[in-house]
Amino acid sequence: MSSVSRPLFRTPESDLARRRMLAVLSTYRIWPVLILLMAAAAAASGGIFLRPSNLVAILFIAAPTAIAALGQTLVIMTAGIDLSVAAIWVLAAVLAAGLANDGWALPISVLAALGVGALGGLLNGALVALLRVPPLITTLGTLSVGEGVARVYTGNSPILSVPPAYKALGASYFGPLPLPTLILVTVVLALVFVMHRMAIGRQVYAVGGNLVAARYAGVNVGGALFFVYIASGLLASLAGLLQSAYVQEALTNVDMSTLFATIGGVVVGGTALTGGSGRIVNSVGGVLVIVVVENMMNILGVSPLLSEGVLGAIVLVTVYLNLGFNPNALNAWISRLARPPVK
Amino acid sequence: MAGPWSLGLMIDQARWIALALAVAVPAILNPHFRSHDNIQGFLQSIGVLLILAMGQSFVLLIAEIDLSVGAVLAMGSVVLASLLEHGWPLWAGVLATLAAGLSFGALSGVSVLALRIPSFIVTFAFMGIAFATGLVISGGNRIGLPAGSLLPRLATGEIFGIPYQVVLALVLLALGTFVLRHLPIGRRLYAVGGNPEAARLSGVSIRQATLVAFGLSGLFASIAAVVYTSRIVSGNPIGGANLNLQSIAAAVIGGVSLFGGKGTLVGACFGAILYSLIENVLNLYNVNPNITEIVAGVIVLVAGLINVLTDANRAKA
Repeated sequence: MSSVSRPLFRTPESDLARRRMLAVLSTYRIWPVLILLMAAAAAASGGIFLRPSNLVAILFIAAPTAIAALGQTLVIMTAGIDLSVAAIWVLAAVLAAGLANDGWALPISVLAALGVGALGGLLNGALVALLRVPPLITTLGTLSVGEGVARVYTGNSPILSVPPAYKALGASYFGPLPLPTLILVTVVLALVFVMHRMAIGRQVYAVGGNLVAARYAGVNVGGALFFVYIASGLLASLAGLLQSAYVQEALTNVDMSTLFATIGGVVVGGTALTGGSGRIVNSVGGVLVIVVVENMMNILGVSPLLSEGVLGAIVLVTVYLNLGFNPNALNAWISRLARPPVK
Repeated sequence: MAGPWSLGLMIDQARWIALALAVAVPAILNPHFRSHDNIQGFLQSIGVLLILAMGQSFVLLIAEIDLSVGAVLAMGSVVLASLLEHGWPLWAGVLATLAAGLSFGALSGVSVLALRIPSFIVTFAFMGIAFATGLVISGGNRIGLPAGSLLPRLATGEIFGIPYQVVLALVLLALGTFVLRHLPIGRRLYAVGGNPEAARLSGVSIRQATLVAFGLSGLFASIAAVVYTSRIVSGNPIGGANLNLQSIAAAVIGGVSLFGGKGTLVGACFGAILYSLIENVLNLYNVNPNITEIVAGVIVLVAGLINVLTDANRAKA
């Protein structure tokens, strides 16, 4: 009787299956890294890291940044960058929290926040797609404009309290899951569908991969660029809304470390800044890596200033590692491990 | 570009008209603008931006960008003030600050080369590192200059009515322009920015050009830090946060191309003056200071747009 689980000789079928598995593993390599990191955090913190209260706090903190990072991912996939997410984040937060404090119904303040996000994205899209201003300069300009508008709107005084209904948006639970996490999962599912099942998603990859080729192939380049910048603006405003609800305040100055975390999350997740590649869901993994490192350093009592520096270094190193990452090298390494010992 | 009077060229020349208008219109309309106090105050406030815009220009010339100049300025200001507080003589403190700025700039250049990552990401990370360094050194507080220090004279002193800091900026302008126009390394910066592949094939070292450009940007940021420290009479770890944007805006309004290989330091200085004039006029009319930030953003957008129109053949992608 023979029940051979592993064929004696390499067959085309077994080779193909293994190559597929490797491709999946190398595309989603951030997730095993995250698990290893969490194990390290658990060991280093003597178990404090794994306490349910800490894990839930991580979910609450990571969700807004991850949502903004999803929009950033779309922009980076087109070889662009969106620095204005930091300003749209702030603008949406002060607008929504301010309206809620003035007694407006919750849906109104949510819609106003999303509206300002879409508008900001539309402005970025127009400058990049129609006027061809480089994305870095465009969003550097709108970053400053957005922050200025937020300050003028609030008279430069932060909003330090919000009504309970508003707080519930960012701080309540849906079953065992924090509501912001549920929103994050929903956005991820929607974007995965858009990127892999809809024409516009394929066009985003095409524009980032080779803009000229995409144009010759009949891709509506302008449309794809408008799509990513509006999506990024919308998601940044959603992030600002949720975060201001969670911390129950809305500050008027942009938080550069949050901006760095959104971009860092994308590149740590393996999306190349040169565009045309990457997976939506990996950016969530990238943001989680950053938040877990931050949390671990926090538990270990590392000064926040130093942990900023460590995070900067981690992002630079992972960008470097991702540039040199070669699936074939991983394949060869795993082959060596998987090979039966030579007798 | 088609013909000598294409749209791009007209817009290119229009920036000089804009500068003339920015001087003439408020000068006619607002007597306070042409008052001695305002002119003196204006001249005493532009040194920092003039120097930063020149430093930024070296990096823009090789088609890179330096987002860390404001943070290097804050770090330099803290380094200088804390060294003076520890009793270092002024010359030694200034030299150490300049060395810190130069090495920080060179380090970002090395990182851009070694990591092969876009410079805005590298310098964005370095911005965080520089701010963090300044905050760690200062413990987050302003550091006052020791009583009787000569440093504040740099901000207030004048020769024939021209503030020292403007004289300093003019000297740097002359030196920088000489380097760019007459020294081989200056020509190489233009070559690398204009066409890196052609530059490389004709034997220009892209590494050397990148190191020099980022090193000069760091050096100029630390010189600006000395002027800044003398002006506010203290070391400020969170100063200069808006100066990144302003230095880029000033250089680009002055005709330094975002796509590299085009522009002069004289242009960058004119851009810095135009930018500061607009700010000055807004202040004179008591415009909400928060609106100045919006205006700064709009200026960057307009400058970027002008750049795209005047450099149309480069911006085709």
